[in-house]
Parts: sequence; C-alpha cells; structure tokens
Amino acid sequence: MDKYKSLGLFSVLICVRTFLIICSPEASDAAHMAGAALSLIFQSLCAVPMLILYKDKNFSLKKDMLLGKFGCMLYALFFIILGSESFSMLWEVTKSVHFPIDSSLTGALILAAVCVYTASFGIKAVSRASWILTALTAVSLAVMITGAVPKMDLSNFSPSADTKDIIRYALRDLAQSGELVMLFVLMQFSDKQRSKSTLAFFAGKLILTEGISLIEITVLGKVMSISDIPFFTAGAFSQPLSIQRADPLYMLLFTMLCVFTATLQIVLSVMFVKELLPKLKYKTLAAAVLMLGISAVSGSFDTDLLPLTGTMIVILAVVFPAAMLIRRKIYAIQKNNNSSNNSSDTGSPDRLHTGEGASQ
Amino acid sequence: MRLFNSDEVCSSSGETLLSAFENCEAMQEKQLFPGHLEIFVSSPKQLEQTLITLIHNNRISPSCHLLCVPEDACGFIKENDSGLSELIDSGGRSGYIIPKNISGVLNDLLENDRRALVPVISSGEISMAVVSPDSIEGILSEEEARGLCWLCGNVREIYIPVECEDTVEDFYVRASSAKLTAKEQNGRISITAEIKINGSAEKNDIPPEKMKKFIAKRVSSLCSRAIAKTVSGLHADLFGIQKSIDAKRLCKGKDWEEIIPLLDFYYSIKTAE
Repeated sequence: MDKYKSLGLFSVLICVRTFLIICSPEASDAAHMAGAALSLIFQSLCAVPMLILYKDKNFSLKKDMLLGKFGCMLYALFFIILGSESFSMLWEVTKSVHFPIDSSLTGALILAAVCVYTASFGIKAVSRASWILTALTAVSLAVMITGAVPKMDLSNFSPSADTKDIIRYALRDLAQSGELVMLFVLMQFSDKQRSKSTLAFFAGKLILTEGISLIEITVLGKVMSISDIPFFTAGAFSQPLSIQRADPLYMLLFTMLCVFTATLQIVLSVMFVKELLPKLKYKTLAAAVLMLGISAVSGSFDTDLLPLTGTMIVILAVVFPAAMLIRRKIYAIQKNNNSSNNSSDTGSPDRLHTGEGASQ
Repeated sequence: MRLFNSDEVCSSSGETLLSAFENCEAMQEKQLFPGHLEIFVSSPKQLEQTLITLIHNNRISPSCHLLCVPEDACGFIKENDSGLSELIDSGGRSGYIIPKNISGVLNDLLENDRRALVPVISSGEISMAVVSPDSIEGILSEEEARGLCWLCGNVREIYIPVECEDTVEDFYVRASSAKLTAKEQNGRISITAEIKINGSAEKNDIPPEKMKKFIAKRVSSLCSRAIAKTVSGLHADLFGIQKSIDAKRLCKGKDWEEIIPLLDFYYSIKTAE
C-alpha cells in the first residue's frame, strides 16, 4: 500500500474529527469543554505505546497483530461500525437541517456510491484529499468566526462545572474518538514525523473542539438547548459581513467530510478484510453495503452504538497497542537473555539451538 | 409574503406556519426560497413556538427582522405591503427603535424572565414592546424606547435635543456605548449603567462642562423611565441584569422575581468630544 507524506496523518485525522464535531447534536457547556480536554489528555497518553511500537522499524501491524486473524476481524468490524455511524450522522443531519435533496435515503445511497468509487483510489488519494478538506475546514471556520465575533456574548458562558458531568463527558468523548484507532492503524503508512503529526493532531483537535464549543455557547446562548445540530444553528446565526447566508458553505463542508470519513472507513475495513478473506471479490462494495445496512438497522431500532464503539476503542487503541508493546519487550528481554547465555556457553550446541528457537 | 423586487404580495393561509408555506408554494407552482426573507411580521400569539419552528426548519435566516403587531398580522401585511424593513432601519438610526432579529428575540424569550424586546406597530405608530412567549406585556412610549436604546448602546450618529436652562440645543451623538455592572451594598444590589457618549454640541456658546451636565441629565431621565417601565413595571430583564449578577455570584439561588425588589439603579454618563 502507498505511503503518504509527512503530516498526512494530521490532516486525515483532523478531517475525521471535524466531521464528528459538526454533526454532534449535544449542547456544549463548560463541563463538556473540560470533559473533552480531559479525554484528550488520556488519548495523548494512549498514543505513547503506539509511537514506541512504530519507532521500531521491524514492527508491522499485520505481522505483529494480537490474536492473529481474530484481531484483524475486530479492526474490520470496528471500521464497518464506525462507517455505519457516519451514515447515521448523515441521516440525522439531513433530518434536522434543510438539505435540498428528495429523501435522506437517496442522499445516503448517492454518497455511498461516491464512497465506493473514491475508496478504489486507496489511502494515498484519501491523504491527498484530506489536505483539500483541511483547507476547506479552515476557510469555513474563518467565515464562521468572522460572523460570530460581533455576535458573541461572553455572559452566555458559565465557567462552573460539576466533576461528575466532566467525567461523564470525558467518557462520552472517548467513546466517540474513533480516530484514536485510526491513528494506530494509519501510523503504518506514515514513513516519518509520526510524533510530530500525532502531536499536531491532538493540538488541532483540542483547538477545534474547544473553539467550536465556545462559538456555539457564546453565539447561541439559550437557543442551543432547542437546537438539533448546534454547529449548523451557530453557522446560521453568525452571518458574516454582507453575506446573508453562509449555510451552503457548511453544508458543502459537511457533505465532503461525510464522503471522506466513510471512504476512509471503507478503505481501512477492506484492508483488514483482505487479511481475513484474500479471495473475496467486491470487498469495497460489500463494506459500503454493510455500513448502510447497520446504519439503517440501528436507526430503525433506535440503537445507541456508543457503548459498543467505546468498548472497542479501549480494546483496539489502548489494550492492543499496550499488549503488543509488552509482548515485544518480553521477546526482546528473552532474546537478550538467550544471546547473553549463548555467548557465555559457547560450544554448547543444544543451548544455542534452544535460544534461537525462543527468539523466533 | 412580498416577493423580492416586486410589489406583488404572495399570500396564503394554513393551520400552522409551515402548512401556510406549503400552500403558498402550491399556489406559486414553484418552490419558495425564504432564505433571504428580510422581515417577519407576527402577532404575539404563540410567538415563541413560531420562532422555534422557524429556527428548526432552518429555511429562514435567523438574522431576519421581527416585527410584532397586536393582532391580525395577515391583515396588517395586506394594508402595509412595503417599506416595513426600511421603517425599522430608519427607526434604528433615529434612536427610538432597536431592530431585533428572530434569533435575538428567541434567545431573550428562553431566558429566565421569559420576556423579550420587539419592535411593534400599534395604532399606526412604531415603538418597542415587551413580549412574553404568548402575548404583548406592554408597549413603551417614545421616551421609554429612547431610554432603552441608550441602555443598549444603540444610539449613534443622531442629533438629540437637550434642554439647556432656557433654551433647547442640538447635541450630536457620534457614538455611544453602555455597560451594566452589579454590586452588592447592604443586602441590596446596585446596578450601575455606565453610558459613554462621544459627541458635541452644535453651538459653541455653552461651556462644555455645562453641556455635559445637561446631556447627562437628559440621558439619565430617559434611562430611568425605561428601567421603571421594563424592570419594575413589566418584570423584564432586557439588559442581561441577571447575567451580571450571576457572573459576580450575588443573590445565589434567587430567581429573577425575587431579585427585582432588591435592585437599585444608578447612572454614570460620561461625555467626550
């Protein structure tokens, strides 16, 4: 698979996070902002074992995968569920925000078709597209800030927050941080500057999350409590300069980020499905159909997939990298012990043979 | 609905706001785009619910101006089908109207006092009214409305007449700003409205210091009338008084109705050329 250039990791992940932020139906407050910051600190710590693993040039996610094919299956399943969440978000937003499409289903089917097509270009194309989307995100936010600043009322922001609420929001934010698993998987395609990209991503995520929350709180005030998707309401409220409506810009950003996120999740899930079923045909199409299907079923039964995705994030982005790192360290220690034993017992062919076997 | 760049009025009725829209579209045989609607005229009945519907539907810009009429908004529009937007703009420039958009009014209605300030046309005159989610609570006189404009820092580039001993002189206000601060004093809450005026008298025969006293007297009088009517009379918090009190953590656990009797208002008018 192609590798992408330095900081590509940052732009890919920041686009995924932006999509989640703009689709969030939750009303922001001080507890929400503090919870997001707390969750980010935890996520940054989780990234340390990943960085240590990839620092070792011999590390390969496929070869070193914990639980072998079952591990691959968990990753594939996770990305399919995450992709279905992207389509669910599309349905939710088109229900709440006036979109010029005949039905949400038509919109989802068209976007799924686009995703299947774009996924065929691979991870390198996704990385390149992420730069364009990062630029579009920056322009959209600049437009929003220009319109929001004169309408900001800082008295709408109450800095008090309950500890219980902060912890609840931190856990919720962690359960929504699918990009942490993506970070672990995508690190293998980034040939250099992984630490720099990871640091830039966490910094960008913090600024983005807290900045948009602050805009929503100060611009919307009490209206936020009745808003379905606060980002779009804040966009509608903060009309910049003489432009009466900047909403189309946010809709364009939302649509492109939706395609991008779903495409990335299709590419990643297909990557692991290939390991499990190398001979399976139409993997991309199958992944997209599965995503749409899960999204439709969870939507019709009103199922909250957050506890499931949260648990999977902890397993795949916290437990797996930590376990892989510990396993490699144990192997390294064993290897060192064996080689030192070998050097002290030169001339004993039996022990030398055992030592080689253990290190393999 | 008056169509853009046209004198033609497209009207329709329905049991709900959105059904009226649908009927209007059916009559036009094309989809209406109300995204650039300039002014929304409504009677006060179910005003809050109507504004929530507009915000949820996301088709009308939240920056669309709102105008209230005591009753029969439809009949009012048929009789006054043009110039309403300009009327509000000119009222805003003249310092006796504060143009309000639907997002601002809805935000105020959702606050604890459940009151908002809205431009209103009553008996052919434009003024300001204090509205609750379902009715007009009171219509302000011109003097009271002018006081409100000063308290909202909404007065700029206008001439105001000022009584100077035996004569009335023009004073040009270039810009103004207002800031309300809350302080606790002997168990009561002092609210100081600090109004900064940048302007000058048209004639130079009155000493500037004297002119400052006259203008301070005039502005204080207008502001106290506005406060007496809105806060004491209509129990409305139109200037974010409770937010100032909460920010300083005064009157913990007390709601707006309990705070009102504890309030004392002071005015600090500062004039600079």
